[in-house]
Amino acid sequence: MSELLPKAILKALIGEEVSFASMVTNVNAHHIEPHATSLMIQQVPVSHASVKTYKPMIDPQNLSNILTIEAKGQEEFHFKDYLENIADTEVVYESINMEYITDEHGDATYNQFILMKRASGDSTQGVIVEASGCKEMAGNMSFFRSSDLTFITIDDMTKDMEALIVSGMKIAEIDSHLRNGMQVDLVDAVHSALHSNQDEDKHLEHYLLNKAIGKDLSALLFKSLNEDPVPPFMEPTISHIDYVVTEGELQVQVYPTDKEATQLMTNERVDRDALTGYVKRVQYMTGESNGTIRNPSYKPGLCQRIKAGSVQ
Amino acid sequence: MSKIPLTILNELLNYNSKSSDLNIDALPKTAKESTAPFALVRWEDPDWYNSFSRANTSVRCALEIKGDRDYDVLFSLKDELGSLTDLTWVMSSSFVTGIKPKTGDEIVDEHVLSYFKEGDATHAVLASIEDAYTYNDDIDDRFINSQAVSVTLIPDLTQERLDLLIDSLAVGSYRCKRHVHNAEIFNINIGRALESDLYSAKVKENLSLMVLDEHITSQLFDYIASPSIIPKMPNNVASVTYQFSNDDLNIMMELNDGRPVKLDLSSHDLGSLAQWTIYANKERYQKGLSSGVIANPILNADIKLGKT
Repeated sequence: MSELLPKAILKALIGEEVSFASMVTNVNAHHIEPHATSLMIQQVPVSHASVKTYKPMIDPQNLSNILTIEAKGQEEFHFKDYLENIADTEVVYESINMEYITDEHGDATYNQFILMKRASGDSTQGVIVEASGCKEMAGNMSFFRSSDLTFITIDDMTKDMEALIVSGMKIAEIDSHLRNGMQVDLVDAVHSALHSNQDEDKHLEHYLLNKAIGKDLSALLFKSLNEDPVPPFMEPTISHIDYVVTEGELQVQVYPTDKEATQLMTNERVDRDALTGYVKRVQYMTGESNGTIRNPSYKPGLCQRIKAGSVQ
Repeated sequence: MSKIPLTILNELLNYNSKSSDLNIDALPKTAKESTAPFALVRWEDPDWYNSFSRANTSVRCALEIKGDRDYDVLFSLKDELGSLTDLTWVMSSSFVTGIKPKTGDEIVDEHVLSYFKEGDATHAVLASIEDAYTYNDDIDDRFINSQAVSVTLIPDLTQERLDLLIDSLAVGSYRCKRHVHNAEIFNINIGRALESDLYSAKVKENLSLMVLDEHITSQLFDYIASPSIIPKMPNNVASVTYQFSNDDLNIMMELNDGRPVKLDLSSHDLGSLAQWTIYANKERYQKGLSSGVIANPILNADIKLGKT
């Protein structure tokens, strides 16, 4: 019975048994995409049938009063702190989605999502507790009613499904911020998200790169891959460079005509970022991890003028 | 061949070159330099690009300056060409190719795009000086010889092709900046360009791609190699069909009741349009598919489960 876990959570929060009759189910309650469950349903379409949404239909009650907040006098509390104390359940992951900007000062309303699970025999039931009306990104709430809660249950939640839900929660969270225009510099946001992501999450990376590339760039990007890779910029006095990738590390030997061959350590004479892109692209296209790149901008005449002292 | 390139070269060199003094080079046939002024032209219209011819002179003489002597060795390429009445100036563009080590002066290739009429046809010319140092848009010519000067004759100009030339010069000049300036300065420049009304959507796409490539190179090729993920379909959509006609992409959704709905810029769900466009482009790149029909996997799963 998928409603058992939501009822247990509600009882722990408000101290009342909530009958099944006072919960409504609506599988299609979420039409804002992507939602926390979108990725799981997309990747495991059969899981669609195991997802149900419950909404308590009881008198709105101020949970902050009912729970007799320990830190009395404080107006805000962390909802998740209470969920962690519910017996036989485990909090897996939490996320905060921006719902909408409420005023001209940019104040927003947030929905907090908390994925919990409870093992029973060989199977595990998952539930995403959605608390609407949070006033801050930290998930703090000031006046919080039981009617602000929605429960999304997932029967027989496997480990793979759990991982997909967590990825889906991350994606939905970032998407809600982008949707509300909170990150103007999308590329920068993507860059930050990719590099701050502790655990590798291929689905999140795919979503972020899709977002960054966008509709207009995608045609250009894939078309450009059919072109020869473009050598990186090198100073015109450099005839060529040799490179080798060993255990992911790129090592470069530069051959300038005015000095001894040296190992490239900085961007001073060769655009190292572009070189990295070039090497990765060659690796992707041919599998080669070492090679020589001739400098298309090499100017022997300029070198001769430098040697002759006519160019400082 | 038109006499205009020779006229321009003589004007710039102050030398009475003859046709026999000219070297007529073919332009590079490979995409060896993304920073070349015609990189975008070569990509978008390769047949036209191959019809370009670049003239320079084999007469090795110093470039004699006819400009204002008060400025000593500085002169303006645009001003020099301004006296040629047959030419209509279109744009000037500086391609930064390096930084002079001690002084920090920029080393540039200076280009001026113009066009002229010959009978019923219109042709463009790009006059270029390589490896100059700039000072307030003027050129320090001290080390320029005649081989640094070239004129590219661009035949059969149309408005569409002129737009492509202008875009190509703009994209090429930013690619040069990308190579020479550090990432922070470059990103500021790109940010300004993207907000500017000066550039076309095509230029802005290219500029965005440059930034994107710099930021996420390492993940980009993993992403390109990974299988496409079918975008999420709403429950009322039975299938999505995409079809390429050259580079135009047509996306249709078929609703559960059989009604077709076109997914385009007028659609309510622009997010889906973006996702399906990327999906279709990736499928075409990875599998060579120019069309496809994707049934809603969720609905199929429901059928398999016998769900009511």
